[in-house]
This record gives sequence, structure tokens and C-alpha cells, in this order.
Amino acid sequence: MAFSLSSCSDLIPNLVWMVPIIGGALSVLAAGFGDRARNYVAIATGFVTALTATLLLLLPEFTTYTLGGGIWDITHVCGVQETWISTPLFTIQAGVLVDPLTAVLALTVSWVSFLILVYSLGYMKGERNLTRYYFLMNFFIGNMLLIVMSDNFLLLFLGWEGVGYCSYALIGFWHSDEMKYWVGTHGETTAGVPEAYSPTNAGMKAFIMTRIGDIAFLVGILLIFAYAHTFDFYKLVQNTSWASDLAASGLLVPAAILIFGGAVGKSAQFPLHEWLPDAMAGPTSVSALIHAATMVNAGVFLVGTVGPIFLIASASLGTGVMFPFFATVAAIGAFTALLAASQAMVHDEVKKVLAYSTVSQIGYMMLGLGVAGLSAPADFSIGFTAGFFHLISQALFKAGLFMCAGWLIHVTESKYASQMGGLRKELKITFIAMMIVALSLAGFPPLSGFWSKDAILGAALQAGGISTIFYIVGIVTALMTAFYSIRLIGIIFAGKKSENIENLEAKGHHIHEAPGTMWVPYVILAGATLVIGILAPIFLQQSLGSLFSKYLANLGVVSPYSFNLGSEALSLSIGFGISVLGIFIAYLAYIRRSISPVAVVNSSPVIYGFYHFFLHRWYINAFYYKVIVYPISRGTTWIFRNFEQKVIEPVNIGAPEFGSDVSGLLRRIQTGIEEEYLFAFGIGIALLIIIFFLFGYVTI
Amino acid sequence: MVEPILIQAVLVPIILSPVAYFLGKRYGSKSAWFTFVVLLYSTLLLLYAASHSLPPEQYSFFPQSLAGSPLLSSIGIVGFYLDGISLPFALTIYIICTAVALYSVPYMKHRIFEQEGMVTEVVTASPNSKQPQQSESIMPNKTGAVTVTETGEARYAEPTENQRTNERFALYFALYLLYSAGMMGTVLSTNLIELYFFFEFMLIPSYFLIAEFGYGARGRISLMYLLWTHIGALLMLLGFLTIGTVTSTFVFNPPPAGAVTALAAATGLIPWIVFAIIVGLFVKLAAPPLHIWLPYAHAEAPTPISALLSPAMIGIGGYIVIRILTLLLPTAYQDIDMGIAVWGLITMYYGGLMALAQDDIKRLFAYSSISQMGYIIFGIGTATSLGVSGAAFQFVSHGTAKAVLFMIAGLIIVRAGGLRSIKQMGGLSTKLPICAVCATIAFLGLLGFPETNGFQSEWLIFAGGLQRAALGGSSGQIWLVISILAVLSTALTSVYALWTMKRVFFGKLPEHLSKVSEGSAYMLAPIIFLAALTILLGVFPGLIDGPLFHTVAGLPITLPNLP
Repeated sequence: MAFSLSSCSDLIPNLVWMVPIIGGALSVLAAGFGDRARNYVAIATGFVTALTATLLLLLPEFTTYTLGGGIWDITHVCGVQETWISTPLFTIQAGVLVDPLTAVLALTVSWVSFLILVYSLGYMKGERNLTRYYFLMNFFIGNMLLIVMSDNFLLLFLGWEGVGYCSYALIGFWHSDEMKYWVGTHGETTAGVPEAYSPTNAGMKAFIMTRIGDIAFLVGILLIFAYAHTFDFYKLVQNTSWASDLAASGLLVPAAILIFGGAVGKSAQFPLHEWLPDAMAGPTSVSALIHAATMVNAGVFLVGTVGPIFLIASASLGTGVMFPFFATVAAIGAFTALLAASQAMVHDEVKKVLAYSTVSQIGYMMLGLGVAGLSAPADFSIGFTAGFFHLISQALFKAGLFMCAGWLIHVTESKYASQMGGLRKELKITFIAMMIVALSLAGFPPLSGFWSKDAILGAALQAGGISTIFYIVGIVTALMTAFYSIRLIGIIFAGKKSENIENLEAKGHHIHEAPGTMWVPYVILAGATLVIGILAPIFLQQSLGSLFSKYLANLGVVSPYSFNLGSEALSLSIGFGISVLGIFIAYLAYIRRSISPVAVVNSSPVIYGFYHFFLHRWYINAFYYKVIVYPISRGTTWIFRNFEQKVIEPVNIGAPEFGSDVSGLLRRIQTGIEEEYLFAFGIGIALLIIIFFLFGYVTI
Repeated sequence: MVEPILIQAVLVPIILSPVAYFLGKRYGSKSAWFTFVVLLYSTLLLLYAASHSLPPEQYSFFPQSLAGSPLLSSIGIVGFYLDGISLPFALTIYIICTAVALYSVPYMKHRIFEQEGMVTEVVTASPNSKQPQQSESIMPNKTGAVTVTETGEARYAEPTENQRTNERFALYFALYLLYSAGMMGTVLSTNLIELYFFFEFMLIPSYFLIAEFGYGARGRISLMYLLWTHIGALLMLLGFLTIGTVTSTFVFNPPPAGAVTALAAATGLIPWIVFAIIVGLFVKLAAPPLHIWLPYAHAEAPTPISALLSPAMIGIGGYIVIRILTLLLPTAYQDIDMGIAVWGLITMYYGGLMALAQDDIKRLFAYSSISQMGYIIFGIGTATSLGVSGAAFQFVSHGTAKAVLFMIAGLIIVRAGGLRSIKQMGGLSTKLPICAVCATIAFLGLLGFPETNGFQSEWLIFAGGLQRAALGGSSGQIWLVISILAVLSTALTSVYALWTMKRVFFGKLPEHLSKVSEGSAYMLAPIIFLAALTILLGVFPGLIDGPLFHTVAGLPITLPNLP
């Protein structure tokens, strides 16, 4: 089915991921011509990438062939066969794949990334080591696009780990670990575990935690490879005997869940979610990139790719074979959404609140994708579309939120929301933009967040059965989400100015609006979330849905998509009501300030207990350190001192000592006294004679 | 008539090593260029042989006198053969040897001047920071001119080379050539006796290199190294002699007709042969508990030699296991494959955990090498084409990455006055940016990061294990579990790799390191070259995979290969 073109238009899909990587390398070379040249090359790379991704959607191969049901799997570029690894036993193509899912994601990733790059121009101004920064940013984007475009698991894994490395390096960008770059508050501990992390520590934590997920992922794909002898997505769908073989060994669902483990790590889902809040030690532009455009979306994309493959592959084994897999995805998504939202309600660090909110929102996406598999096969596209619609919508508003937060932190010289306050007059543009994106997060109509979140909840409601539980969890989380988004806005912009700001102003620091390179990107994002929100019910959600249902049809999942306001009315109105309720509570507490949050927390030991439980991250982080990190680091030293040095190394001393002991013993009899030798000789003869007689060698 | 290509690659360095000695006596450290050119020539010969896929070269010595006995006369048939399996090993060895030859110049200058008491190696910290421990290497009678400024950094007065130091350089480079050729001979051998000969041949010069130029209790440590590996080699020889008597020939590659069946018939002897060879070679591979010589030898050897010992030499044990056991004893081998895999698994974890507990940077790398040998052992243990190929590839990956790391450790030793304790490092990425980048690449290679060759080898190894799991049967479940554990050990590798990276290169720069700089291209160029190779082979793994699989697919491993 591979589709090869004689023209070179099959070069463009390859360029989508290659441009940022090549451009990143070029920006390093351009640094030789000065900082401006380097910055322009880096930003231009972002722009060209976005243009290439856009061009992809306009190519006839996409508009007519792919959307007409063809599979555009590119294994030739300009007539050159793209073999990556060729051996007598197997061949792995370095191919890229263009389908509606990759196209939509490539578009989202590249444009949001471009805006973040523009924002970096202002945000990172005056920093040192920016060559490294811009290279890694573009390399990051390139690897993410490689994940999106690759046509097989092994190539995907290349991008997958590339993204992991870039996040590590960028989170730890300020690698001198000066105190001002630390995340968390010094001196605060949870059950004896410090809550503050240096940038390099946070980067390391991110890499190792996601790596644990990646290991599960690798085991999963190698298991499939062991049975299917291929990594190619479409080959796996076309010949599904591997699935029945795997199922016969009882490994089909475990393999799927192992692959999902990779998504759990990258997308910061429970139980591997703890790295993301501490990843806030990196520059804010990096946080925006990780949370909106690249890293965390990779996991969602993976589930979106793997889910249908497993569904189709297991179709012949009877329905419900993959139920445990989809139920796991949905359950982890729902639980993570709740877990993270609860923490976002109580934290004071602006970026940490946003980080928890990302974890929570990704949980929603997982919930949507999981529900897709739990519902009737014909309804698969509902949850699927909802999950990816929310991904797009989250990318827009979360990038916007982070960019606003970056400026706020810069101008107030504090990472704590409580040290801001009363900023709505000075920072009008930021205030309006942040209000819009926060309302989108809160799920307030007509912003995109309202429609996409509702699409997920609606899908869960419609699926029924076990999904009803997920729906209820989702609704509770939605209430929390609305509350914490407006809480953040209220603390930062409403009320009086904090002491910190008054001190700054007393010192002559003027609180002023961001430069154009910074506010323009986040205003664009706020505008986008509004425009998409307005267009969604009119045609956007429907066309997105039909696009994805074409994607699913290519794989073999027949599931037409239809959206109409009437049938959604129930879930839409519940969603609206919940959002308004959450916003209203936050309004009373943080904008009108007629309820004192402190008084509420102190009013009852139960609320106080919950408050602390949430503040201490449900003690999960502390648990990991106490049960895994500390025992390993102490244990290795213990083994080294007590086993390696006391049991194994003494062999080196023991062996020669044994030898010298033996020789010492033997030396004793060499006395040199003739009488003794004669005596020993006599005894020996006597003994020999006795032995000979005893054993009958000599007979008389 | 076979072109004498490979025999040149092995014998030219040996024949020219006296020349290196005389040139060294005359020109001192500059004679490194001679060593470099000789090794480069041999490397090019290998590349030529590889690109022309030459047939095995065979040479006969004293055949007539022993014509009566086929076994004894076969001792005289000395061959050299470069096929898909020996290719990755051979090229890695010579490429690293060639690169490290140049690297040796500044390092050995530092070391020899230090040994001759021409420069004192002092790291004086400012009063408020903890007094760094001086390495044990300082000779008692120091006479060199060192000024220690108030801020605490040591200034090195660069001494000039004299007759005495020239002799030391001469000795070093002569031994260096012998050592390199010894490793090469081992890998290219086609005769068991020849193999044993070269196996011991590489031991002697390396023993002297450690004994003469090493650190700490170098006399004792080099002796320990010699004894352990020699006893291992003798065990291996016992196995070889038995194989020879059973098959009536010592030629093993290509396997003589009937040898496999003759061996398979000798059921009583097989366990002993396998035991002798496995234990003998696992000493070289440093599989716990046979590893104890390695941390000492690798840590206290002069660093360029550490960069040959660890990346190039120890993995040769794996090569011989692949060659002898899978070629000659395929069925017996498959009875013990799971045991080997489990031993490999233990090696991975044990080495990794011990690496976490180290403070001496070279010792840390030494334990990390043990852990990496675990991957090779595991790959061989899977007894699948994928796993065995992965093991051979892993030799390459570990070689390039670990050579870079040892060379960087050596650069820090030279530039920071003998500093080896990680506790006293930190923030070096501002002073050593190129090293920081190369160290990152090398560490990523170790932890199996895609886009480096480490991933390309490790996924093959793990895929081999999971292929065994896929075959089902009673052992399928066990294979599944041990394969997952093997993949999981890469998390442990990530932990020590990134943690070391953080402690050495990130954080605050201590005052006593404020004057450190990267210095000469002699050191940087080999580091950059091998780091680039790490990425190149990660992006284009076909360079290794192509010839490797071509040969491995033909191995008599009876398990089903991939279609």
C-alpha cells in the first residue's frame, strides 16, 4: 500500500521534522556571526517549520489521497529508498506517515512552538548560553515532530527519547543551580523530604522518571516486534496474526499497557507524574513548550496511535479483549485529573499551579481516549476526537497561561502568586489575555476549553457503564479546575498590591507591561482560544471529528462522527453549571474577597487536613524518595562497604595469604636436623609396611 | 594467493615497536606521531579488508616436521580473518588505539614529569574550603617549580623533556604498540593456539604499562591484574586443548568439517570445556564475583591505558565466547544460555549499583564498564541472532562511549592537578564546555539513548531476550522476566550517568577549579572524534548492522531467526 510519488512532494513531510533539527544546528553556526544572527535563524526555523506543516495540509496527496482513504506512508524521498537499518533478518524503514492525526498535531505543535520561540526572544533576553538554548529548543521541536510523523515504533522511539533529553537539558538550563532558579520553597519538607529542587536536580528527576515509563514502552514494542517482526504501524494493522499470538501467550493486554507506560511517563500521569511540577525550575518559555507543544502531548499522541492499532488487531479475538487496556487508560486519566487538580487548588507558586493543571488536563485527554475504547466501536471517534480536540485547546490556553506567568514572574521578581496582587491596572494586556486563557481552562463558554472538555465528559456520559464513574470524577475535577483558574487570576490581579510589589515600587522598580515580542504571542493565543471556541459549535468540532473518523477508517475502525448541540445539551449544561459554580466560589474568595480562604481552611480539622494533604502532593513524592531514592543511594554504599570490600576484595589478600600459610606449614618440617629426618624416615617406612599388610599388598 | 593485509595489521605494529622505542628515546613525546601513523596504517588496512570482504588469510609454519600429527601440525596454521563478527571488534579496537595514541601525548607528559618529580602535583584549596585529598600518585621527592598563589591555584611550570623522560616516553609507546597489536591479533585469530598466544600477548605489555606508569600501589595492582587474567587465560587454554584433542585440529574459523559433530559426541567432556572457557573468559569480562581486579586496574592505570583496557580489551572476552561457544558447541551452549543471561543480568545490576557508590571518577567508570559488560553477556546469553549481534554491537557502543569518558577523566586529571574525587568537582561545564558536551553524548550512549549507538546495540540485545520469551515453552515466562529486568537496568544506568554528570559538570564551580581550561587539541580532538562516532553510529547503525548480521545470521544457532 506504500504510496510513492515520482515528484518530490514526498520531501515535505520529511522536512517537517528535519527543518527544526537542521535549523537548530544552523543556529549554532550562526552564533559565529553574533547573537542577533543566531536568534533570527532560530526563530526563522520555527517559522519555516510551521509553514512546512501548513503546506503539508495543502498538498494534493493529503487533501485528495489521504482524506480519500489512502495511506500515505512515505518510504521513498525523491525516488530514494529510505532504509534505515537493513540486515538479512529484518529491514527498518525511516519512513514518515501522513494521516489526519499527524497533520493536525504537526500543525498545532509547529505553530504553538513558533509563538513560544518568538516569546523567547523577549523572555530570554540578556541570558547567557543562548546558543545552547535555541539549539535545544529547535531540537526539541524537531524530535516532537519526528514522534508525530514517524511511521514505525522504532523511529518514534528515537524522537521519543530525543524529547526526553531536550526536556532534561532545558529544565536544567541554568545549570549553575543558583538559588534564585530553584523550584519550591527552601526549608519546606514533606515527611522529611525537601520540597525544593535545583534546576539540574529537577532535570535529572524528569529524565529518570520519564525513562522508567520509556522502559515499559520499549519492552512493549519489542514484545510486539518479537511476534510481528515489524515496527510499522500499518503493517501491524494489515497483518494482525501477531495479536492472536500475543494473546495466546497472555501478553496482548500487558504489551498494550506497557506501551501506555511510556505515555504515562511522558505525559506525567499517575504514578509517574511527580517530575512535572519540579520541571518548573526551567525557564518559563521551556515550561510553555513542554506543557503546550511538545513533551506531554507525546504521550497522548502515542495512545491515540496505539489504541486503534490494538483495537483492530484484537478485533478477530472478540470484542472486549482490549477492555482492560482502555479501562486502565481511562482510570489513570480520571484519577490523575482529580489528583493534580486538587493540588493546583492549594499551591502558591504560579508555575506550579499551572504544572498541576497540565497534569490534570492531560488526564482529561487520557480519559477521553480511554472512553473511546470503552464505548461501542461505532462511537470510538467521539472519545477520540474529544481527546485530541482538548489537546489542541490545552496547547493554546496553556501556552498562553505560561507566557503570561513568565512575564508576571519577571516583573514582580517573585514566583509566588501571593507576592503579586492588584496588578490589573498596570498590566492591562496581560490581565485580559490571561483572563481569557484562564476562563478557557475553567471551561467557560464560548472559549475552546468549554467545548473540548465537554466533548470528553459528554463521551464518558454517552459511553455509560464503567465510564459513568469516570464522568463523575471528571465533573468534580471540572469544578476544581474552574475554582483554581479563577483563584490564580484573583490572587494575582485583584485586591491590593502585595508587600513585595510595594517594596519594588519603593525601590523605583516600575511595574510595566511586557515588550511586544512577549505580549503579542500570548494575545494571539488568547485570540485563538476565543476564535476556536466560537467556531467549534458551528463547524470546527464536526470537521475535526470527520477528519479523525477518516483517520480511524484508514486503520479499519468504522466510526462516523456527528456533533450537534441538541444531543449534547444535557452534558453541555451540566458542564456550564459546574464551571460557573467553580468560578463563582473563586470569585467570592479571591476577587470580591468576601470569604476568607484562610478562615475556611482553619474552620475544621477535616478541611485543614485535606489542605495539607494536597499541599504535600498527597505524600506521593515523599513516598518515592523514602521508599526508592534514599534506600538505593544508601544501599549501594552499604553493599560497597560491607560486601564488595569485605567479602569479595579479601580474596585478593586471602589467596596469597593462604599460599604463604601453606608454605609456612611445610617449611616447619624442613628443620635441617639429620636426626629428625631419619626419625621421620623410619616412621614413614613403618607406616608403609603396616599399610601394605593391612590392605593385603604383602602376604607372608 | 591471498593478499597479506590482515597479517600486516597485526604484525606491523609489533615489528615497529622497537623503532618506536628508538624514536622515543630521541624525540620524546613527539614520537607519538610515529605510533599514531603506524596504528592509522593498520586501521586503514582493516577498513580495506572490510570493504573488500577478503577471505581468511592462512599461513603455515613448520608444517613438515610435525606432519605426522594433524593436531600438532595444525598449531602451525596461523590465520587471520575479518568477518562480520570480528569486524566491529577489530575496528573499534584500532580506532580507539589510534585516537588514544595522540591523546597520550599531553597525558603522559603530565604523568612522566610527575613521576620524575619534575612537577609537583598540588591542589591547594583556599582555606575555607575542605582540603582536597591529594592523589596517592605524588612521588616523595618533588623538586619541580610550583608556585601556589594566594587564591590557592597551582601554577605549573612546564618542564622540558630530557634524556630521562625521553626514555620513559620510548618505553610507553613501544609497549603501547605491542598492546594494541596483541588485542588485534586476538580478534583476528583463526586458530585456538594463536588465539591463546595473542590473548596473553596483550596482557604482558598492559601489565608493564600499569606497573610502570600507574598510580597508587601500582606494583601490587598490576600484579593482581596479571595474575587474575593469566589464571583466566590458563583455564581457557585448558578448554582449548580439550577442543583441539577432540577435533584433532586447533583451527576453529571457519569451523573444520566434522568438528561440531565430533565435539557434540564427546558428551563427557563438554561440561568441562564449557566451564573452563566461560569462567576463564568471564574473568576478562569482569562478571562478578570474578571482577575484583578490574576496578583497581582501570582506576590506577595511566588514563590513556584505562581508555584502552575498559573500552577495548575486556569486551574481547565476549568476542571469544561468541566465536568458540556458538560456533563449535552450539548445542551445549544452548543448555546453559539462560544461566549466562542471568549472570549477565547480575553483572549489569551489580556494576551499576557499585558505580553509584564511588567517589573516584575513574573507579566509577570502571564499575560502569562492569555493568556494560553485563549487557554483552546477556546478549550472548539470549542465543539468538538479535541478541548476539546486539552483544557485538554493544562492544562498539561501550567502546566509543567509555573511551570518551575515560579521556575526559584524564583531561580533568591533567588540567586540575590530579583531581579524581567527584566530591571536589562541580560546575566544570563552564570551564570545559566541549568536554561537557562530549561527556553528555557518551553518557547518553551508555544509557542506551536513541541517536547514539548505545540504543542501537541495546535494543537488539533486549529484542533477543524477548524473542526467547516469544518462543514460549516453560522457560518463556522466565525469559520475559529477565528481559524486562535487563531493560530496567538502563534506568540504573541513567541514574549513575546523570548523577555523575550533575556532580562533575553542573552546580557551583569550586574555587580550586577556577583556573581549569580545556587546553590542547591533542586531548580534545580524540574526544570529539569518538563522541562524533557515537552519534554517527546511532543515526546510521546500518554501518555495523549490515556486515554483522550477514555473518551472525549464518551462525549455527538453532533457534529460529527472524523471517
